[in-house]
Amino acid sequence: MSDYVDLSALGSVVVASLAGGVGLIALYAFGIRALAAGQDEGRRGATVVAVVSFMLVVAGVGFGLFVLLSG
Amino acid sequence: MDPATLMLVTVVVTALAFDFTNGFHDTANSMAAAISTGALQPKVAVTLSAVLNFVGAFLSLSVAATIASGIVDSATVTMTVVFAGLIGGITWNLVTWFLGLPSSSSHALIGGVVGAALIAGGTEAVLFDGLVAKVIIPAVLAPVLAVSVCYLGTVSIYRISKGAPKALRSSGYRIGQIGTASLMSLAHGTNDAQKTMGIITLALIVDGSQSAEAETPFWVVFACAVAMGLGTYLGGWRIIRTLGKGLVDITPPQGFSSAGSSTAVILASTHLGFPLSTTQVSTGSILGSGLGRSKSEVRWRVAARMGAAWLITLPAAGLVGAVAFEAADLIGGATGFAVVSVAAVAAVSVLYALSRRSPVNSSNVNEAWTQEGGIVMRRPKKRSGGDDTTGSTRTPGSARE
Repeated sequence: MSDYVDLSALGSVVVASLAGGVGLIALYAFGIRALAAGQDEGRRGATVVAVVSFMLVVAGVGFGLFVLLSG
Repeated sequence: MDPATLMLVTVVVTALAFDFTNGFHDTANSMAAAISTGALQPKVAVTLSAVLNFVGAFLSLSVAATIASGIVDSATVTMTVVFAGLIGGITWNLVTWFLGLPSSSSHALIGGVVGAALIAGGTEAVLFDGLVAKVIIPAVLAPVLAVSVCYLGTVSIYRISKGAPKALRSSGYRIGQIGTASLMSLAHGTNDAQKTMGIITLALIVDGSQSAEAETPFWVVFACAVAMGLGTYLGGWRIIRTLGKGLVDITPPQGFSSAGSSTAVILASTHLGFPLSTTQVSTGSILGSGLGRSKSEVRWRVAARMGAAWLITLPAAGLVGAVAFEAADLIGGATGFAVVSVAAVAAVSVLYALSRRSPVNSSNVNEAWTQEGGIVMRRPKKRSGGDDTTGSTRTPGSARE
């Protein structure tokens, strides 16, 4: 099988897919949860956490695109 | 125009036609979920996707992948093989569109070229090791990877945002979905338009118009970007319907996670030199999003039909490619190309006429899924009138979450 498949490339694909496809998505969900906490319970800190999460998601996407396009 | 130039022009036009079918066949990959959850109105979704596909085509030119390199012996690749391969790819793309089945456009193209090369040069012309390594194994890995990533993503976001109010979740994930679906469109343009650029460049090299080392000319990049964008704008509504409504009834969180996982998998695999089919990845992601939500129903009969289509894509497109090669070769020269082109246009017209019996378009793409009639849905018997003005678009899955 490894004659046909570049296993190290496949491994990197799996890791990068999980980082983007699960990690960033979960971070966005966390942002939504924090936003809800900020709205409902009036916790300022939670809203700040939400904004930071969303910004990190955008930064993650930007970083991913940068790596792709410069590569 | 001398015959050789005429043949080159025919191949370029056929390649752009393939690019066009590639675009409308794959609109569903990025936009089916966003359309079915109501995150975007159908027309807005295809317009956005078309623009991003167009832009995406310019983003990365480093690959300009010569399709079928390492799969078919390059000595066998003549203008006729390229032409017959394209005819095979276009035909299979349109048959699967008619049946509302998402299937890989690159597999269709590779199948067509392999079929033509088999007739042109016998079994030695096809590098079966390359075929296994570059097509068959990735075709098995792509859905497995996409299903797993999207399953994990969907489970996580449902868990994480559980306590948030429904309205906030709903609008939050719809906005997120617009973002992920847009990225997916961009990724598609970057990835798929290159296949046609590669084919046209190959034809120019075979013809002797261009040296093998030269870069893809700008007019090729531009023409491919336009063909891809226009195809995407037209929208393969039959496939959008199957992916958005048929396979899984998609909710906003599922739409968000499926487009996110597809984009991540496709960009990662393209970048790391492990190209996977965009169609298989996005279909796998939608399936994974169905498995990841406990209350969601996955229609396995629809999934099985898709799987069957994937299995026969290579041989079916190969058969058409082989027949097209034989015909063009027997008749010979520019006349052969012309006869096969006319036959292909006739076949396309028949398919189009058949599709008009049960049209699927932006106005009825979100109708509830019915099993009768299989994949292709019957037109709702309400007001006859303009295709786009009936009120039936107002039924996206907005009530669910």
